[in-house]
Formats: sequence, C-alpha cells, structure tokens
Amino acid sequence: MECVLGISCNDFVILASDMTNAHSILVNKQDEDKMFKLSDRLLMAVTGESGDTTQFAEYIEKNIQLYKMRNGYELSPPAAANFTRRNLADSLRSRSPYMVNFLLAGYSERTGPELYWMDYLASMIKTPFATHGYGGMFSIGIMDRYYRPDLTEEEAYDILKKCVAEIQKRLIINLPNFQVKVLDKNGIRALNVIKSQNLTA
Amino acid sequence: MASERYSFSLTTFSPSGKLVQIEYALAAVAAGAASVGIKAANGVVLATEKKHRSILYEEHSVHKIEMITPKIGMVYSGMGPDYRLLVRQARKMAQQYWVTYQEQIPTAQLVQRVATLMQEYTQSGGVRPFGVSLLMCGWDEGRPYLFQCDPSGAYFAWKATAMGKNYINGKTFLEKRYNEDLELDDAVHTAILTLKEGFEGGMTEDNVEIGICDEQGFRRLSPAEVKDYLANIA
Repeated sequence: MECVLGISCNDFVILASDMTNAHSILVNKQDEDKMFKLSDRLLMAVTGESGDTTQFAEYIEKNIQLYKMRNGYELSPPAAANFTRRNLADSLRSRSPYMVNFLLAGYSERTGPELYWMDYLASMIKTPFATHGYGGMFSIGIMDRYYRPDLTEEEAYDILKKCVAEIQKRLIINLPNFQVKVLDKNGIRALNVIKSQNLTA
Repeated sequence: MASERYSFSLTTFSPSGKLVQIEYALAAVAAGAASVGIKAANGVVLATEKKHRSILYEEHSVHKIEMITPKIGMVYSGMGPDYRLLVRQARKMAQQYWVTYQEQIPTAQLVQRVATLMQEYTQSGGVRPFGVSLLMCGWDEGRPYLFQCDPSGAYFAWKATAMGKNYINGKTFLEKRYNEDLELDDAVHTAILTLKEGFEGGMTEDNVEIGICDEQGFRRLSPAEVKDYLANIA
C-alpha cells in the first residue's frame, strides 16, 4: 500500500514517499511524514509494519548520533548503511523481527551521493534508483526509461512526477500526496509535495 | 575472569589516593624489554628489543610486534602472556567493527576500545591489571597515528616515545632527535639509535624487531631488512 521512490544522480539524491497513513479500510491522515533524518547527510524513507517503522528508524537515528558524539565525526554513508543492515539482519532471526522496507539516501565528500535499497530480509543494494511498494512496481519502469546520472534536480523531480501520475492512474489504492526531499552537499531540503490535483496525466 | 568467591576488586585505593596495583603494574612495564615508537611524516615505526635468555631460543618463531588489522600494528613492554591476550582481544574488536560497518576500524577507536578493556581489569572482581604498556600505530584517513595504552587504561597520542627498560633516557634522546619532518627511513634509523642507548651487547637482526606502518599498511620488517638498517648505523 505504501510507496517510496528514490533517484541518485551525480550531485544529489532525491527521495519521494506517499503521505497516506491507513489502517485497513480507514485512512487516518493524508499528510504523514515517512522520512527520517538520521543526520545532516543521511535520510531514510521507511515503509512497513506500523510501529516497527518508527521504532527501527529512531533506533538507527539515535545510534548514528551516538557514534557522532563518541567519536567527533559522523559515520560515512556506506558505514551507516551497513550498520543499519546489520541491525536488520540481527533482528531477522529473533523472536519478533522488524517488518520494514526502506530507502537510505546519503551524501559525503568522499563518496558523493548514494542510494541504498533495503528490505525486511536485510538484503541491501546500492543503486542509482529504487522503489518499494506496489506503486514502486509501476514506477521502476519509468525510472529505467528516463534515468541519467547527470539529471538536474528539476529533471529528477519531473521523473518522480511522472511516476506519481502513473501510480495515481493505475494503482487501485488512492495515494493522493507524495512528499519529496532532496539531499546534496548542502544538506536536506524539502521540495513541493506532489499532489494529485496538481498533476496533469 | 572472576572466580565465584571474588566479586570484589583487588585493585583498591591507598590512603594517598593511589591505586598501588597499577603502580606495580607500571613497574613491571618499566622492568620489561625496551620498545620505541616514532611517528614520521609519512608513516610510523615500532621497534623493540628481543632479549633471549639462551642461545637455544628459536628467535624468529614468536613475535613481539603484531598486526591487528592490515593498517594497525602493536608492540609492548612488560609481560608477554598478558600481551598475547590483548592482541587477541584487539583483533576481535577490529573484526567486530568490520562486521558492523564494513569499514576498517579507525586507529583511535581501536585504541579506545583496548584501553577501556584494560581499565575494566582495574575495577573488576578477582582480576589484576595487565602488566603491559602497549604502543599502537596505525594509518587511516591519509595520516599516521601513534598511541600508548597503560595498565591503568589511560591512553596517550605520541609523536615519539619509549617504554620499558631505560625509557627515561630513551625519551630524552627522542626529545633531542625528533622533528616533524622526519621521513620513515630516518625514523627507523632514529628508533634503532634510541634502542641502542640502553642495549646490552650487540644489536643484530635476531634480537631486534621492527615494524612500520605507512600508506600501504602495517608490516613487520624481515630480518634481512633489519640487518640493512643496522648496517647503516655503524
């Protein structure tokens, strides 16, 4: 039901997530923020079991901060991603595993912008673009068609708009709003929410 | 670790506020074989004397200078058996970091973990402090590091230092000889000279061990390489 999208280019990573919070047939809110800021240069868009998502994301966020307090410098994006994956893998064979799927966006001077796809089985890949959810299945083909590493921020946003238009046309579940955030060398910035009424098909 | 009867610490304060067990441990270190560490502009050198009590010793079977990770090395002054345990633990700590982060442990972080372990042995039931001081050298983020860990758990970053027998003279010697622009080769040379100050008998490639750490990582010099350096000080 939930959907997150991510595109990583030469100078930035852009993440989009739907804003619907629903329990079964009831929609609780249409303006939920599913993105967690782990640090100034790390952003995570999480889907999955309600409750697990927040608990897991906050646990990772606080551990990232703890490392920074202890050592005076931040974990690099690859180290943070591997740390997150390790936690997910350890929880997998415990009594109650975390049911979360997410995209982790990171930026560092050394590595540049990076996007990691992780699922509830603790598989992880670093990839130029990625999605989660039913909506993601419609979107990945569009990203395949239009992705280039040298996209500008506007062009990447446009690709996301195309993806959301397709989701809203073809997915049986109504996802009217998509939040968009971009991560680059200057940190994390929110872009305009993609709303169904603003989109022309 | 602690036997069931000893849940209290054997390291206790004296009236003057000292932990005498740690003072004694430092005495054990000062009585141990000399070791030297020098940080050069492009690397770090560790050197130590390997005193053998008999000519029947198989000199090159057991080493004092040990690699912990490809970029971190270690040497000691004091009790050999205590050192072996710390080497084992340090290697495990380094691998645990790797499992979590898929990155090599930064030298300073490994030093902190080892030092924390040494401190635990001064405040736990039924154990005594380690009878070694460690010199740890490493290379990460493009620069060299040299640290000392004491039995108390204190750790220090050094440009150059000496431990073990004759360490006061060694440090005085280094204070005169050290400068920031030393190249690694000069640092090895200086380290050998520092060891020579208190050396009984002649220095050979069989009773001296040298390790270097640079951009390529940490390695122990072979006896042939040590022999070449020794030839240059004559």
